[in-house]
Amino acid sequence: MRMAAALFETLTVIDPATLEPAAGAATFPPEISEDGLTYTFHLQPEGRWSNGDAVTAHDFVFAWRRVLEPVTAADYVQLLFVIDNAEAYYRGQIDARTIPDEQASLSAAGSPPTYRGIVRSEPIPFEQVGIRAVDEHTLEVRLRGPVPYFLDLTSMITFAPLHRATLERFEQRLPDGTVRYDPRWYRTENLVGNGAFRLAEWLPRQVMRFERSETYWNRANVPSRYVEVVAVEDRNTAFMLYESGDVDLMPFMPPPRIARTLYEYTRTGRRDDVFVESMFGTYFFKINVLRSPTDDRRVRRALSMAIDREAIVSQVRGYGERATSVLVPEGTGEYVSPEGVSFDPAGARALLASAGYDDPGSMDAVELLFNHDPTGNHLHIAEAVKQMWQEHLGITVQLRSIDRPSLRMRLKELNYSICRAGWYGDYWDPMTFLELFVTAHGEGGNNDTGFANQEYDGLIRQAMFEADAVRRNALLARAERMLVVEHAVVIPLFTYVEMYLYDPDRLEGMWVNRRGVLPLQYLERTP
Amino acid sequence: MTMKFLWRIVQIPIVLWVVYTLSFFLCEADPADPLYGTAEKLPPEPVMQARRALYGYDAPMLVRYVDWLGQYVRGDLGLSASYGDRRVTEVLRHSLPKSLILGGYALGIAIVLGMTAGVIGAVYRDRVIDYATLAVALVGISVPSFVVAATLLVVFALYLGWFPVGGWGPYAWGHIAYLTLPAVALSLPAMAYIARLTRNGMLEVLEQDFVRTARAKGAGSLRVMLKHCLRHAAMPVVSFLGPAAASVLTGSFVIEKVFHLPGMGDHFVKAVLDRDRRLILSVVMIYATLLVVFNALVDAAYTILDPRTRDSS
Repeated sequence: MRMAAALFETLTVIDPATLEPAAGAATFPPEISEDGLTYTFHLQPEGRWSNGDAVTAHDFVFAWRRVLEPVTAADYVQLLFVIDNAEAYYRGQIDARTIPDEQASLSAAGSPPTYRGIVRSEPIPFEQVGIRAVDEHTLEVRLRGPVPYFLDLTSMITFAPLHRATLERFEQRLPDGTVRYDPRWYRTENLVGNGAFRLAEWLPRQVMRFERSETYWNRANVPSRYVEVVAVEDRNTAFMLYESGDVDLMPFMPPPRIARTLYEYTRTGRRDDVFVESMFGTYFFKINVLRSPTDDRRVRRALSMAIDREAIVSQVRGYGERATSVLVPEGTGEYVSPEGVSFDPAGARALLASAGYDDPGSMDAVELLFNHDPTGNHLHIAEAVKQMWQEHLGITVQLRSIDRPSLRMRLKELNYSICRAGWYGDYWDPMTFLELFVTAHGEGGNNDTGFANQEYDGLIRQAMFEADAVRRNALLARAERMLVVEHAVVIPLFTYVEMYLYDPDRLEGMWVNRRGVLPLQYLERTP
Repeated sequence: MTMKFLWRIVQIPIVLWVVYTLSFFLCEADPADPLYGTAEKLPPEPVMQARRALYGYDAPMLVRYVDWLGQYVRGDLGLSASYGDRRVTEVLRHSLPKSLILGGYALGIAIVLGMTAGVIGAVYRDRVIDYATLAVALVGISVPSFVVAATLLVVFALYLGWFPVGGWGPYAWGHIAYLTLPAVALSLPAMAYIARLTRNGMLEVLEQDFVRTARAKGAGSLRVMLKHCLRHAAMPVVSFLGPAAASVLTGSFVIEKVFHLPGMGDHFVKAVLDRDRRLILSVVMIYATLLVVFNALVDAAYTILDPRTRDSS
């Protein structure tokens, strides 16, 4: 993401100092209509691609359309669904190919629903989607609801423009008529970007060398002639590269033992080049609500109540994480999360008894699933939780560590009871966490808990169309309460922290921040 | 002998076919969808279908088995699912030469230092220097490479600053400063084996009649050592070198990770975790090919080193 942001500039960018949207490929702020539904962006008059061509509004339309084509399989396609008719366009493309006619007519009549529980969408022409190039330098976007975080969204790389002529050189027509682009378009020798840098060298798994783009409109404010990003997999080695002075910045945590020592050093003032920041992300467990015994919400809530989160952050973690029993990290704008469940072993046991488990030992063993992690982070947390559940509830807990693809398979098939998960917010709004649990959210199915609740879906949909910030936050808080307290679909544990290592006297233009925004273009090594 | 050697050559494709078959069906036995390994979020079903078709997973297993076999015979390694649709040949073009260069360097170190240590150990049998080489060899064999690698890194790169911490260096063919520490770490186990094999071989030969005869005929001590003794003592080393070369040249996951090198060893582990079947099969086939070729070469080397094997045909 950070690499792509160096090569492609979005309409807005997040200012790393204020974390507010600021001018990017478009001047700031754009014109926003009275009802908050129409945004008109004026592109930077000097905006140029790395080959010298002017960046036009058509490049944005082309790129956004490509994201909405199912064949692109864009990971973050649902971010564009805030745009009017974007979701209808996307679903229409999919449904036309996946849902047979006879099933569609059945679902239109009301039953049975399709696999997503919605009727088949008919394909619509792209012209109906709320994206329009008014002229070469003006882009108009029509939203389906007043989305308060839209200018935050437009800073995401999914909203970046693409150099149409380059991609068209790599166009491939598949047998079913869809258009796909040969991935060679983003090789070093072919890539055309509009960002502060151009890709001078790319050795996969080794190094990316970014050289300042001499066509970038704001190049006067890019102090470094080049920036090299080294891809190091082993965190020990990465730490040694930093310690030996081979790299100036290490924007992630060293292995646990070293990280814990460094964290102590910063607190005692022995090192001034270690920065720990609470992130916009939450570590949690998600629960399969369709499988016994976790299909009973009292059982789920009892499990959540029997976890001493403070003990986990202080004894198992120890890098300054904040324990949390809600999903949305503290301090997300004006939003205030509801009260989560608190650590209450006696209450948890009582709740379990009310669910019919007077003798918790008789309950089937609960399996806690997590992906294998070489540093053992997940294992240590899981072991602590297992011990708490066994001690406070008297139930049997089995831990199971498996590799990622197998884990994904089991989640998709809902073949699990409890699984560890984590989520970093994509944009600065509670919605980025809460929309995950809408019924069969998106096509990729991020909601793999089996939780399908009309009231919840309704609250989220209402919030999407609510213009008043206070009312909107109240709706979201109500939804979050359902998620973490009433239905206890997720068991939040703590807010992630990240560690950054750099010497502020040697490296300028670096802002440590909650969102992990790290634009390469401001970085400068002082001589 | 020519017949025997020809038979070895004929065996090569048969062995490779068996290896391919076993690896293919082992991959097939994996219940996880091979395209789940890379996608961060699962794309919608039609996209999954398109991707399956792209990688050839839409065909029935046996059809795929035959198709892929045909492709391997033609030298087509297919598409890598975990490297953003790059061709496996392209992925390997970046990594295989680097592993070969590093492995060649390591192998050179292992042979030269290992045989020297072995000869010294044999000549100064049961003296301090013999025990010293024995001790070093024992360490080389028993200490796992991640410990050796990390230790070398901390001592020589971090504290002494003699070598860079990691990376391939500025040139495509590598840089001796960057490659020395990983090469030493990689060579250590092989070096230790070679030292022990050479020493024992030498001790055996030194007792033989023909050595005494050579000495009696007035051949110099060094000449006897190198021409008569080492030639015989090298036999077990040569047979060890076949498999050792194949394994050293294809890289080491651990060494590459610790020294941050873009070699092929990484694929042996990562490709499996990523469910990248074409990459798995490709690296297995490359390893197997090197192995059978080197073993054939070892057989050939035997006939040169040991006149007795020539008589058998």
